[in-house]
Amino acid sequence: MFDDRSPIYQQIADKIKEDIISGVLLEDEQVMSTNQYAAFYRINPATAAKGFQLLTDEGILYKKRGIGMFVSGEARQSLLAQRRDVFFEEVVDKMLAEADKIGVPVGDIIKRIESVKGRDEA
Amino acid sequence: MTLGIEVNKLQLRYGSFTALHDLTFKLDGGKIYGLLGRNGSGKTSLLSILASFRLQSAGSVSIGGEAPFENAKMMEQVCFIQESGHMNEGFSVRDALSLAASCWPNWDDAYAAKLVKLYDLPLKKRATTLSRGMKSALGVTIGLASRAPVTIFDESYLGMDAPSRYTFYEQLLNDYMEHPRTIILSTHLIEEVASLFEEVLIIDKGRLIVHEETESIRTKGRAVTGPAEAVDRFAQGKTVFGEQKLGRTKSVTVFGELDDAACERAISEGLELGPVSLQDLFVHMTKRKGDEQ
Amino acid sequence: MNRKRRHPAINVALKLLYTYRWTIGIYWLVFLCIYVAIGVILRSPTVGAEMDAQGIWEGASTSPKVFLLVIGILMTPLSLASFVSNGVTRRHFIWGVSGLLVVYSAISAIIMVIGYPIEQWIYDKYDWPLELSNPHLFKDASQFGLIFVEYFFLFIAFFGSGWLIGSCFYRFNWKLAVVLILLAILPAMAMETVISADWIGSILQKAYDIERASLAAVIPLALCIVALVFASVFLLLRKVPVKRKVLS
Repeated sequence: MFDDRSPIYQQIADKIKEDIISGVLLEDEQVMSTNQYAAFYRINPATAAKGFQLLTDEGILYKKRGIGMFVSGEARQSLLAQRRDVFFEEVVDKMLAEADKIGVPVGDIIKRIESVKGRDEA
Repeated sequence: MTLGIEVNKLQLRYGSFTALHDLTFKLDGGKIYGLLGRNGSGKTSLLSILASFRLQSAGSVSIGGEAPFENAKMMEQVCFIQESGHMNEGFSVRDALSLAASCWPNWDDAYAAKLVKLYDLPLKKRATTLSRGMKSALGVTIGLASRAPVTIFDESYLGMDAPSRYTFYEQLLNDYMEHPRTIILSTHLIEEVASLFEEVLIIDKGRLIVHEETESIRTKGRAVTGPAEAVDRFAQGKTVFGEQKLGRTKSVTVFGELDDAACERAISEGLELGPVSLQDLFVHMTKRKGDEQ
Repeated sequence: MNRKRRHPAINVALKLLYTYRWTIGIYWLVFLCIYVAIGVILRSPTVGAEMDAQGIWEGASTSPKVFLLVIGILMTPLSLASFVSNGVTRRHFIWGVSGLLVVYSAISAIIMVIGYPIEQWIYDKYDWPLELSNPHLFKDASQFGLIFVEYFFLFIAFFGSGWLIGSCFYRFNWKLAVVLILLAILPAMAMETVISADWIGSILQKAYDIERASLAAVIPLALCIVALVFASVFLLLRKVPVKRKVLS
């Protein structure tokens, strides 16, 4: 379920972010409690709580006293914006570096992008 | 009720052999702690002292602010389950459970019955004739149903098959969330259980070498792989465990805080930074001379 | 969830009694059958002719003494670990076993006391004469109090010696424990000498010319021996580590 690449609480936070972006978790929807999370993934509840705290600090989740944790209204938007910010650096530049490494000319890449763009607009 | 544990300069000697050297640590209580150590590292000795099975040779132990040895009020708050337990000869499973029920102040009969059913424990059978796995199941049943404020499991699930072990982890976690208490798990099956620990203590040769939150140990270990010279340059001045060579490529395990700048520098020099599991870290930290062969 | 529970020492005594319920029950059953059988054989025409005024109940105490010795030996090695590992202090375990010793020795003594009038009644029915052939604390079979006192102290001394032996085996390695048996059996032997009853009493008085002390001295001496046993066990066990195996 979780690997050693980063702390588990980070991975929990990332998973929830992913669920929000992909629409599995909707805005103002209640998320599972930390205890439910802990039981489901068989992890220490303090770890789950830490992950939730991370998201609360970032404004992705908010707490309703006595009820539970909810996805905040602007969560999806702000996450998408975050991803957009790093898109060129993390995705495009990396793709270009890979292409360079294996010897795919940039021209070919541009042709490919144009053909997809043409298909979409058709 | 959560009880904290404080240990100060604890020493245990068996004749001329010192099993525990000046152990000092403090556990806040109310958490699930992992205790890791190789065979003969002093793990069981430490746990025996916490449970008043043994008296220490020097130093002090305090549980909930009081010394536990022969302290009736404290001894009944600490439940220590070892793999095969200390069953009375001729006791049936039912008798063993009944004895435990009469001794532990927080014992929950209903929960015990549920666990008996879950593990399919044969109530009428003699406890000493049970299979190893069943003995372990009886042990963890008693440990969990005791609801003792300090519950210690010393590799008590070793004899169980994987499904039974996973049942135990599930039960442990759920009951801990419902009834928070201090739980110490000592284990060799590190990777299976590591995600349950909030804090980890590592004992080696009678000394405490690590006491940290699980998450921070995890982030402190990195495997650095790349051209040998670059790896050596990067590893300068850092704590290094273990190294492996394959041709011109070298891989070492580095232990310590690595900030983002250091990570970027590593990548720019063509090094790959990978994660290190808690188990690997443990193996590295407790390596002995004879292990390489 | 805190429930009202028994005092730990009482719990120890009750649980131990429960553990040995079959052993104790079957022992007394077999014991009584054997003694009735011996009685029948001794009274049969062939053998009975030479038995003048002999009772058999008088000599019956050796068996319970040995039984109590053995049960005493088993106490610590078989059950200390299971109680301490369930959170009972060694002190409470010792109190619990002590209580069991006193209660069970008393019960056994009462059984012996009851046997006398029953034997008397049977002998009277068949018109057989009955006399005590060895010295005792009591002069005739109707002094129930004295009979009880004699058997109670002897039984508790044997039980106690057994407990000492077992505790030595638990605390020390078996070689040292074997040597310590010589010391651990002293309370039983001392009690036999103090009480000077039965065939030992007979030997002491006839062969060695040692008279028993007066009753006023016997009882305090007996109590001292019992106290010595309990104190010794306490010293042996109060800090003993809980071991995995019964014999190291």
